[in-house]
Amino acid sequence: MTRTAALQVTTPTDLELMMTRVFDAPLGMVFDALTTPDLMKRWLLGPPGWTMPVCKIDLRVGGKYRYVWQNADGRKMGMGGTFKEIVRPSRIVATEMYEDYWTGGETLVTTALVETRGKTTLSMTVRYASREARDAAIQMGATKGLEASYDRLAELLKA
Amino acid sequence: MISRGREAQRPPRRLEPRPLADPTDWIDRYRRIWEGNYKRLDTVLQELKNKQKKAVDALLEDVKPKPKKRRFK
Repeated sequence: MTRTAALQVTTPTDLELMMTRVFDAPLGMVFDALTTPDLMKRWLLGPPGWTMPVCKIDLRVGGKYRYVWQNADGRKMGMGGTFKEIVRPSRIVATEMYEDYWTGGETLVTTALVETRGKTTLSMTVRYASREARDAAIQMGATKGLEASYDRLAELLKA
Repeated sequence: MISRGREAQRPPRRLEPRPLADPTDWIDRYRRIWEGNYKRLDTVLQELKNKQKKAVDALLEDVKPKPKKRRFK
């Protein structure tokens, strides 16, 4: 039996971070849930306490997307990019760039779906432009994440 | 002539590079965020499956032969 709950996170190359997860649903359904704003707003939320008031997608090659998340304090975080490749319903390649803080610059995100006996394996690969960019993201991730990390930053600034 | 104020007496200051953050923290953070996202995605997918099942059941109900109305003698 294929487990669905375990999320695998690996670093296939120096420049990439890859996440793999199995879902108990057919391929087309997973693709829809990944690309339909009304559905995405229900799950693509990040840490607890955040909502997704803006989710705009122009799902075609060259089309743009933009997401904005907001937490209870009203703090907002925006992200967007351009679709580079779309193979319905199994593959999406898009650029990704955060607006409000620097996470190593623009990344290229590849989402691939494969169905086996009614279950769908999703793999998402984030590719950084250079080792420097990836190291900057590592540094950022450790000091300036989304939630408690802001508090940590405040502490750093006080010190 | 060069005049020197108090500025010159300060010890030189420079930015010390911080030690590189542990990549494990970075990966763990990604993992935590996406575990939460994908758990919610599981719920959304389950709802879509339920909806699809209901629609299929309704369709099957429609095409099922209806019991003939009994004629009263």
